[in-house]
Amino acid sequence: MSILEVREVTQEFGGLLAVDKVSFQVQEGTVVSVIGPNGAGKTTLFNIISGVYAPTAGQVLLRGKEIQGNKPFQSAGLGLTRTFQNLQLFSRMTVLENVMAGRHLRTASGFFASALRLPQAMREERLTREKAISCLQRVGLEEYAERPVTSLSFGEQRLAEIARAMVMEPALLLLDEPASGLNPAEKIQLVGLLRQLRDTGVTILLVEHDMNTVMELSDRVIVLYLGRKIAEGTPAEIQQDEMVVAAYLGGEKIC
Amino acid sequence: MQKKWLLVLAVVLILLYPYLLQSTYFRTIGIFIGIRAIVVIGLCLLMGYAGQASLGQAAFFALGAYTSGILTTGYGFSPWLAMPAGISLASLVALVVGWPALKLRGHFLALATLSFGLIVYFLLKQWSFLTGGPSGLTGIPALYVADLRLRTAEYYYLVWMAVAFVAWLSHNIVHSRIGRSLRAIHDSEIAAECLGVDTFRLKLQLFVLSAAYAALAGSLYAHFIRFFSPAAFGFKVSIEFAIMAALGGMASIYGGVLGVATVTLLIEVLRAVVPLVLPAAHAVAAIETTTFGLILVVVFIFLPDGLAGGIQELRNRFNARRTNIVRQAKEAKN
Repeated sequence: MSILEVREVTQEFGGLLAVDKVSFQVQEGTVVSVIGPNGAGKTTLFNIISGVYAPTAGQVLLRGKEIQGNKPFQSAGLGLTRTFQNLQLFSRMTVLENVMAGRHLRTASGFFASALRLPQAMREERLTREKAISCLQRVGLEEYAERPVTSLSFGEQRLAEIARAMVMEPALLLLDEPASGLNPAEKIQLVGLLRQLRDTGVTILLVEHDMNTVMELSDRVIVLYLGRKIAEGTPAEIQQDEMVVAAYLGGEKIC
Repeated sequence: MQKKWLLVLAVVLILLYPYLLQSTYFRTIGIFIGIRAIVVIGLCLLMGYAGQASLGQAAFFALGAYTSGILTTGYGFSPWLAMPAGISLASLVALVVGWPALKLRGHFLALATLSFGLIVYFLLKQWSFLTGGPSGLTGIPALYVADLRLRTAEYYYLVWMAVAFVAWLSHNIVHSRIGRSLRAIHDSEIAAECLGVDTFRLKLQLFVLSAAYAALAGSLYAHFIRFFSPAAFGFKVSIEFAIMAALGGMASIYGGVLGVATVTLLIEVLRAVVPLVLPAAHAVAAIETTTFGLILVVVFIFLPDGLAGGIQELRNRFNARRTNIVRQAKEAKN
């Protein structure tokens, strides 16, 4: 069953077609990658799906429900979340607090219960902490839990951001260039982590420049070029697609 | 540990204050610091945790004071009932003002509250049938607990109990799911949204809470001072609240209290000293305004996180030095 369907989505910025009638589907429980040279419209597409932009035309359906033009928090409520290419961690919080913030939707205590420290709020807070710590263990950052998040290395911050998304238990996770800025060892760890995540039932859509990561992880690959989808298929098919090779893989540097 | 001792010290100091300085003048200043602290704690939450400024907090302060004053003098309400009525009214008004203002990005809340403050101020002056017009309300009853009339010393403790309660509530909020999400909004609104935080709703709730605090403070003010005119709730008062919050350190509850105490005492010192040097009638007001401007400039340049931030930095430096000394001592031994 397809969890996400993108139908003829178009995004225009002052006459420039950043995304031009792009359509594709993402099946539940798979990993799908969107690749393409810089300026192909990948991040714009992500911003549309996650609700940062409302598309000029077209539809985005999450489990058959139209979500284009939703606010990001509304889509998050339906089980969709994302990470950011340039990292959007909460810089004045500890690593643990960052991840705990990811439990917002899975918890319910409001102003009243929190202000008066009602028993259910305290119980929830304990549970949030446990879940956050277990996610930090999964990404291997548990020993840095109490450190300010800005004290982590870039690669560790990426993992912290992924942990923050994991703790939400999303149905669909959008990752914007998760491998960029990682060293080879961290990339291997990332691939393992994302596989594990997929095996627990999370559908993953990623934008990625790192071809090894893409080919190793993806069930399907979508190729964008100048805002248009020029190819879609399994990693093996994409590597042999003449159009892709001509327009992208052969023509330009892959990175 | 260190923090706990500082808290204990502060509580002891606040408890002993009326007896350390046994004069009505100093007790009154203590009461004013407490009343303003209640407003400023709410403002600190709003500015420091939601990143939204209000330049009309005096209007909510006025709603509390006038509701208490009008209901008790005109309609025979018990002060203890008028107080929650004022808080409810201010909360409701905050909801109506904040709803459209917070839908917009940027500092629209600051602009909206600024104009709202001016509107309330003029209404207080114009609606004489309700508010007593420019001469204000008189004859507001004192507070009684059972048969005990709260005089200055008792009132001091009542106010500071309220401060403690408000600080406790606020501290709990900051260290909860809600507080985390609020801090998240402040650091990265887009990331917070992608985690499912309804940023508009949280900001609005916090704005309403800050208005409720201000109204509570207004009621406490009304029953202490027992007569007032609109002048006590003008634009300048709103600005003073904002300056106190900025000076104290916006993302800090105790910093807010510190900011209030500093500014209040400074005003008192100016009022005592300036006439000795400059006998002109308007000198005090002029010097006050200048001083506020100076405070803001100094805070923005040297203390972006206010007094609370400055103290934290001093402590960090002290601790770092101590660790260095210990390390050097160890190395010397080896």
